[in-house]
Order: sequence, then C-alpha cells, then structure tokens
Amino acid sequence: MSSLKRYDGELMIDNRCSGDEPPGLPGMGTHFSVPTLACRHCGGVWVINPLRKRAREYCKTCNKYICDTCYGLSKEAGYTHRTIDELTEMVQSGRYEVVGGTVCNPILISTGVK
Amino acid sequence: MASHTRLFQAQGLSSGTGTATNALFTTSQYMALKGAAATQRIDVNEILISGFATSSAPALFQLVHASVIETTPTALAVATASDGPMDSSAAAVASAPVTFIAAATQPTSTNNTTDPRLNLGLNLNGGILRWVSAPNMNWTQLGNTATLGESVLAALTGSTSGTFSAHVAYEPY
Repeated sequence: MSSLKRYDGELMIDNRCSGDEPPGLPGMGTHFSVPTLACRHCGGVWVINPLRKRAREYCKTCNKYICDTCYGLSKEAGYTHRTIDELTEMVQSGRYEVVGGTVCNPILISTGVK
Repeated sequence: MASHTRLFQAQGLSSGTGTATNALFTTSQYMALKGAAATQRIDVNEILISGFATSSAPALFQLVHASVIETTPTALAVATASDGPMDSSAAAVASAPVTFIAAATQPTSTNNTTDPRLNLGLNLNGGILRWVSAPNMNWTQLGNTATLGESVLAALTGSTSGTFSAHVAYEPY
C-alpha cells in the first residue's frame, strides 16, 4: 500500500561547523533533517511542525496534503476544487488570466478566447 | 532531473539583517525568480544555501512570493550570479524566466498571512542548508504578476548579516 510519505520533500540543515544555532532550530553543532510537504492547490511548500496536534489537512479529491489556507477555502460556499496543475492548464490555454489575488485564492478573468 | 531544469545561482552575497514583510527587498541581498510570460509555470525543485560568515550569523531565510513585483530587473552579472540549463546540451528555452538579484525598484515581500512561506533558516557561520522536493511536489509559481508569479529567496527581519552563496534549481514550462 502506498504511503503519503512518498510526497515528502526533505530539508537538511547542517550547522555542525557553525558553533551556534539558528533561532528556533535545534542546538549548536547539529545536523537537522525534517520532511516538507507541498500543497497541490496553491503550489506552496512548508516544513512539517512535528509538535502539531491538529490534523494535517488532506484533499480526498487530489489524494494529497493541502495547506491550512486552501483547506479553509475549500470549506467555503461556492468553492471550486482546482489544483495548481488545473490552474496552469486554464492559464496556458489562453482562456483565462491571473490578474491578482493571493496565492491560495488567485483572481482569474476570462480573456474572451474561445 | 529533466534536461530543461535550470540552475539559478549567486555567490558571495550578503544576507543583510533581513527584510520585513511588506517591504522592499535590498539590492543584491535576494534571489528572485519570475515567469517570462503570464502563462509560464515554474516548479522549484531544490534550494541550497552555503554560509561563509566567520562568526555566528543566524539568517532567517525564506522562500516567499512577492506582493509587488520589481521594475526593470538588472541583468545578472557573472561576478555574482548566473542562470542556465543544468544539461549543457539542452536547447535554449523559448522564453527564459527572469532571474535577478537587483532591479530599479526591488520586489516587495508579501505580508499576506495566507501566502505560503518556506522557512530555510540556518547559521551562515559554516552552515549548509539543502531543500529538495519530492517529484511533482515542488514549490510552484505561475505567470509573471503578483502574487503567484514571482518568488524570492531572502533573509527576513531578525537575521545577522553574513556572506552566503546559494542556488535554486527550477524547471520552467
């Protein structure tokens, strides 16, 4: 059975030669490796917080993790499920154009191209 | 990696003490990547930062989107930066993405709390940081307008200034 771990990226921070630590990360002289996750709705990536107690939001339609913001938007009335891949196809078709908005909620307008 | 993966790198830059959100980045203290056109998608696959500070220099690097894009980006100079295909036999891309570390007006760091930010903090006193994505789980940007169309690697407020070199491996479509 496949695991969602296959979607993990990796962040490696090697401070073994630093003699000091960056704020909020493990102590001096450490080698630190942590998984990252990507949201397939907005295309963002984040470092997994190992202390998180809440569920990591997950889209059953995509079968992938999504970020908290996209998950919140997906619960709003009138939400249209759209992955970053689908958004790319819409824009590259020439029929739509991104004219602003946020990364998780871009504003699309029709270009009038059939 | 596919033959059209490109490598945007800069060497010997200063991180500065960091840029606040909703503020202009400082020239030559960031690496910015923008689509060549409104339809261009870019997937960022890998980031590596090497620190060369001679004393402790915690740097709060992040990969963030720009809420206001730059005006008139300065062409890369070989002394400090370059951008080209990783596969030397790759054909030239029809529309090369815009990569820069300086501009007439610098891009602005987004302060939108719903925009993604990838934390890449390290100590530039000999620290090394490498982030690599799983296949098809990249950092993705689309187009060439704010906010989705431009990403910037830079140190955020609270950093101690130090020298660094970095590369960003990315794939334009």
